[in-house]
Amino acid sequence: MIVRLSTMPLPDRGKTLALAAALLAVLWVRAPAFAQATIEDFVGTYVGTATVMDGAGQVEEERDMDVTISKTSDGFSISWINVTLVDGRRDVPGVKRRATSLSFRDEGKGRYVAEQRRSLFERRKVGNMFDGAPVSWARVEDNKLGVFSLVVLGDGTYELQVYERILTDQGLDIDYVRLDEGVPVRVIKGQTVRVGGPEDAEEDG
Amino acid sequence: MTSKDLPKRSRRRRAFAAAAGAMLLAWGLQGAALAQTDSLAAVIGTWTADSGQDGLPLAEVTISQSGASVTVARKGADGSASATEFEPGDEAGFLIAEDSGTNPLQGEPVHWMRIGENGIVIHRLSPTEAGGLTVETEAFTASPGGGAIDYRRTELRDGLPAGEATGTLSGAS
Repeated sequence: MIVRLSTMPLPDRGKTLALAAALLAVLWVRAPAFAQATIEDFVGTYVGTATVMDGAGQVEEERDMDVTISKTSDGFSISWINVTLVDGRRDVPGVKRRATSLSFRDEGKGRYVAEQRRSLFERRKVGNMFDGAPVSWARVEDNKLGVFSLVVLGDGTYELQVYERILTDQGLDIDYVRLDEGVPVRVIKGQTVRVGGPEDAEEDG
Repeated sequence: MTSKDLPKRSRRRRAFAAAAGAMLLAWGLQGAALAQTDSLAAVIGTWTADSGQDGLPLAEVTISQSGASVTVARKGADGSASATEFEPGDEAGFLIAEDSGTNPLQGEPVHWMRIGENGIVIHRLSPTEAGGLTVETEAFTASPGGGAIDYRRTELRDGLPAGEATGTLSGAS
């Protein structure tokens, strides 16, 4: 529809302008806070909850999550702790806790590659996928931090894990999928809130 | 307690159980190897795309075996032609392309084949310009009726579907 303002009576024109202004305001409010984020926008500490589902969407478990993203001298590191709940509780037998950490080196052009070093003093090495070494990389796109990990298994099949951490006004949303030979077998969806800023997540490394 | 301390009958029973276990293991391994041989044999040959299959990137494929190596020679629907030889890896049914690298993030595509159920599956990982990774999978599966193979190609870019093609290729007469 083309609206010709100049031929409209003044009151209508006023209404149209008001409507356009309101629309612009709505769009401005709804626009993502980070149209093109950088890794610095993700730095912080987050806590939240997630639901774990199988590939068909059946809920398997609920978990608590802690995520810390830190800037390092040559990239960033991300560590997270998952606590699998039992009947929604974390103070009963059967609760499981798992901590994971990965460091990524900035390769330029928005790409980060996982460090294969186990310590600062170990030389960087290139993993051989046919020996079972996973390849992990990360990318910032729009308001998402994508972390990917792919491994070739001994039987010649492959497993790809995709973690997307999406910036929200409150913290990060988590979208995870594990694909076996391209077929989703596990899906995790979660929400977190930011509980600490960059100053709480600084790292010397 | 050593086996010498056991009564003769128990020792015999143990030896029998060990021999039976070894036989079962050998039988299982042989069975798996035979199944893989059958799966590969089911797709060996020259296969031509049936007409009227829009979007199928392949016009013809020839899958051949020489010793333990497998060669896949293809003619694309666009007239292109290529051949890749796959050589045995460490595991049975797992073959690595002669042109394959070992880590796609070093800029070298990683390319391998596995002998699956009733056919072969070829995977190729390659880096994208955007800094990610593309996983291209081609499955060649013998049709239940025989005389043809089903072809399925999928492409994932950073885990997201980026292309799919399916079709049937018939055995060349």
